[in-house]
Amino acid sequence: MTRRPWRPLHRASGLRPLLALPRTALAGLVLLLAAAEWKCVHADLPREGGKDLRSSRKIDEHVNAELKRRQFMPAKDAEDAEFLRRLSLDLTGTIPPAEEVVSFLKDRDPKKREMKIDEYINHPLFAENLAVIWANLLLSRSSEASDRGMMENYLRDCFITNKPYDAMVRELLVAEGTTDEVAEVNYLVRHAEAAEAAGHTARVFLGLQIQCAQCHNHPYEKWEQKDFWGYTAFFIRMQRRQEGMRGDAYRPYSLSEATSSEVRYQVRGIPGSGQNSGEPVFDTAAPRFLGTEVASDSLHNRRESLARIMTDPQNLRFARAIVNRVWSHLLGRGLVMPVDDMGENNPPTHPELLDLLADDLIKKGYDLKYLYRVIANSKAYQRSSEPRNARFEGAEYYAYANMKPMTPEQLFNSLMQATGMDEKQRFHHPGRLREWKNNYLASYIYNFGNDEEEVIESFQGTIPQSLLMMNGPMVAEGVRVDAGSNLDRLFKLRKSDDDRVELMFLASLSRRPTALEKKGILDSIHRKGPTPDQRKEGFEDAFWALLNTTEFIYVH
Amino acid sequence: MNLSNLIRVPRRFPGFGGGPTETDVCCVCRRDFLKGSIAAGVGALVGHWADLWAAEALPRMPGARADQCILLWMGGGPTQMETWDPHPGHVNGGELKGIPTSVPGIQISETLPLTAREMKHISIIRSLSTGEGNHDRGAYLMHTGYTPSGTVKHPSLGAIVSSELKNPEGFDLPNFISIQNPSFGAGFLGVDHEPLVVNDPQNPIAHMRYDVSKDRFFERVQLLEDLDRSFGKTRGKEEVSAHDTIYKRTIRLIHSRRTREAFDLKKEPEKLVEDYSRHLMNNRETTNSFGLSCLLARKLLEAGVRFVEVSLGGWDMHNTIVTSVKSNNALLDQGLSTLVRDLRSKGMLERTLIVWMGEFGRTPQINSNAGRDHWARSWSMIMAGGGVNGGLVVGKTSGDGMDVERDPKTAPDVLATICKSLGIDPSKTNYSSRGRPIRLVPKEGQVIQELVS
Repeated sequence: MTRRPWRPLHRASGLRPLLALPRTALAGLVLLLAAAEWKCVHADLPREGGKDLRSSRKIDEHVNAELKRRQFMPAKDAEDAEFLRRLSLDLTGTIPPAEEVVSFLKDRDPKKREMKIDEYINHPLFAENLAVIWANLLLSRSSEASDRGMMENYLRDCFITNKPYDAMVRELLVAEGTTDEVAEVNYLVRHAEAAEAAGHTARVFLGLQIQCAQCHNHPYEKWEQKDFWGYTAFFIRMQRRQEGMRGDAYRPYSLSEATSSEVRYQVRGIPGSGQNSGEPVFDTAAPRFLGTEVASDSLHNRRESLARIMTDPQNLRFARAIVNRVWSHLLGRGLVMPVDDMGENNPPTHPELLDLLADDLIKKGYDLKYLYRVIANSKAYQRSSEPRNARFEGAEYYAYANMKPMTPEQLFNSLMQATGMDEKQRFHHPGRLREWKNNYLASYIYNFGNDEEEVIESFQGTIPQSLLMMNGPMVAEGVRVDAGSNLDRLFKLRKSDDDRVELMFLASLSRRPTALEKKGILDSIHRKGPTPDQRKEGFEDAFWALLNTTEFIYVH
Repeated sequence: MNLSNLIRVPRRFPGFGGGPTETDVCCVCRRDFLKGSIAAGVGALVGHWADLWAAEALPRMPGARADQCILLWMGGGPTQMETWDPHPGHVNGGELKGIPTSVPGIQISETLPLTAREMKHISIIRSLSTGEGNHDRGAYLMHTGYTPSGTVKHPSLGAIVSSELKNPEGFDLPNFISIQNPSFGAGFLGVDHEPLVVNDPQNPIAHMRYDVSKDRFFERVQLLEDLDRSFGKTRGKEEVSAHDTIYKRTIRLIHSRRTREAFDLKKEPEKLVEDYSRHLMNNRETTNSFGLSCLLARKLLEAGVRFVEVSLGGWDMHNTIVTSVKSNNALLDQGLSTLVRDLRSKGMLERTLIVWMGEFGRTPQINSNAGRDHWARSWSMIMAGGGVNGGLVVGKTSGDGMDVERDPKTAPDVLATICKSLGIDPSKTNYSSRGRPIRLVPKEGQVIQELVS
């Protein structure tokens, strides 16, 4: 069995101080312990993979049938290096260490991909990665009143213990309490206004865009105003309050449930239909959702009823939405696109496949690790990103692997991995890593400014971003062959220029160079001159170039 | 994490039968335009870049009085009584007096003596009545003309100007720069019109310098291009090409003499820098950083940037307002008056619109802490420079300052007037990322005619 040979413990724990507020310092310890635990149980990873992979084959039957029908020739399988880099970025949020690439390439076990998938899914970084992704989804990048550290702690625990997804959603929906004590309350504290909570919850957990129905009957979908407000009535009794001072200058928020409060709304017709003339009409909305009406008494928490209806196994929408999201995470595009707009008029590319996976997930008790494992083990996921046809056709049918721009977190983690800067800085300038990380997040994230505070995470858009990559301290220091840097460490392992060039490629692009690339780099190094210092400059320049490539900043 | 994040929906939504108006339609499903727009989005980044030194500013918009704008943003909510609308006869007026200005009949606070001399270039609006007394909401309203709705992020003034008064393709400076203030973003206009935020006027853009020799830098770039070319041959053709374009632009910026000079305050005459920034506080010499920002703003406009926002904070004067306003006004008076004089001597004043405002004013009645609280019902701002007629006062407040007696003005009125001055059509409609039509300025916004006709 292959493993992450390079200090997985340090790496995992090294991530925490960046994210942690003083209050959440404990979380670092938790993760550290989790990492230690992982190391111990590592040898006995669960191997249910074999019996579980029937659905992976079914994915391929469906995808291949559709490709055939549309006459797109699927790309060849990704090479091992390409596969490993993609898998590592998708599941653990960072590129693999050079040593891990080498040992994976050497491994002759025909089941090595399957085993690697299991290893990553059970790695603490998988939980860390998903916690960040879900915190962004639930809170968006601006956490507002909620406590992001607490939210991430909660999510990390969910993914470490593989809590059934439906149970997680129920907890998020019914939570009451203060942001510093009840971690899961941070989701609805962020969206405490009833209509916003309703809209966001529908979008994230059901893949439904219902905001239009707030003002008028939806022009395309079956949602009517009374559906929207009936659904919103589940959230109308939420009350957010800022609590008193906790120790230092920090005031948490709390969410509680009032005993009364109803939704009143102005009834309007479809815009432009002439139904809006005359005196405005108002109505009170009783809580109802998906055809189920709930007693509007004051005795129970309405959100509990909603959570029950929403996550009911009969509600296939709920399962479809999470399948589509995970699929999109791995394959670079959803079976329905956009992933949060799965209404009637936006059919999936592979409807049967979507239903099959949704069914399967319900039967497996909303086991998210299972879902990740099944999709990652499909040929569709493991295809090369190099299309067979020069016109790049068939991407939406998975003829080849979609290129995905790295998220800011992936880029930051990958730069740390490639340069070893985390190791170096953590000892000398502990504050600096956080500053660097904030720089990266700030430069790469723009509020897209749309209805849901979606953010655009762009990797090619702006000058400050490219300045950060070209001249920023992390790359500038990271490419130096100084004591403590990753290059220095690798160079101590291999002495020939040939081998060293190879190592630089492995550390940055997670693959070996082609003969032509190797020659080009070696030539440029040798042109520098014969002295060791000149040669060192040559290596540094090459490493800078590698980290600045398009190939580096994409998941492909 | 998914491709939809990369996709930018075209702003103009083609053919929604009968031409939607804002009230008719508030949503159009974005998926209708998603197909094929990845290519469009990437393609937009790839525009060719001609010789930058040949790039000249485009001609002024038809009917425009000015073609560039400085917004002096007074964060915290500046007092009207101790600036542009003194009420010396009334107890609400406080301790500070008014002084005459170079325009007969107009008085401003005695703490702005230098600005008083430039009054013929300045017009005051004393009748703002905007209704948002919360910092965030007020700042959003005054920057965008819209009240925050939670459903759409409206573009701020700088982004509107940046997108309407474009510079030629390949112009090597960003079109919207914000100094000492993150400002408000471009909203649904997208990343192209996000401000370049400069935190320190003396050390403006991060990471402009590389730590190797120029030769080595270009050797690195050459290696990078070779590596990218081989990757782009088999996959990611568009991604590589977009990456290449933005790197080339950035490398141009790093090596652009125009940029370097525009950002380099040391290139300015020592006397001028002193006028802007040499500041005595409690008999000790300090640097007026607001003044330096005004100087940097002028340099950026001179280089062709269309919109610069400069921030002066500290206006949230709930306590002992006389002390705080004296020190803030000293900074303001120096920066603003020097800016007007400097623009005039450079021959730039007539094509420049200067706007001074904050998110709201302050209570006419002085509170028990000798301060003033938030007040959005009757407050003041100024516009100056060639963009507007100078030496005027718009509107009037009552004797106690509590009410607007004449010509109440709203945030949309202000935005409409700024647009008109710059030759931008306030009724122009953009489309949010969900295809919702949104006018640059809400339709209730009326141009303040006496300022711009």
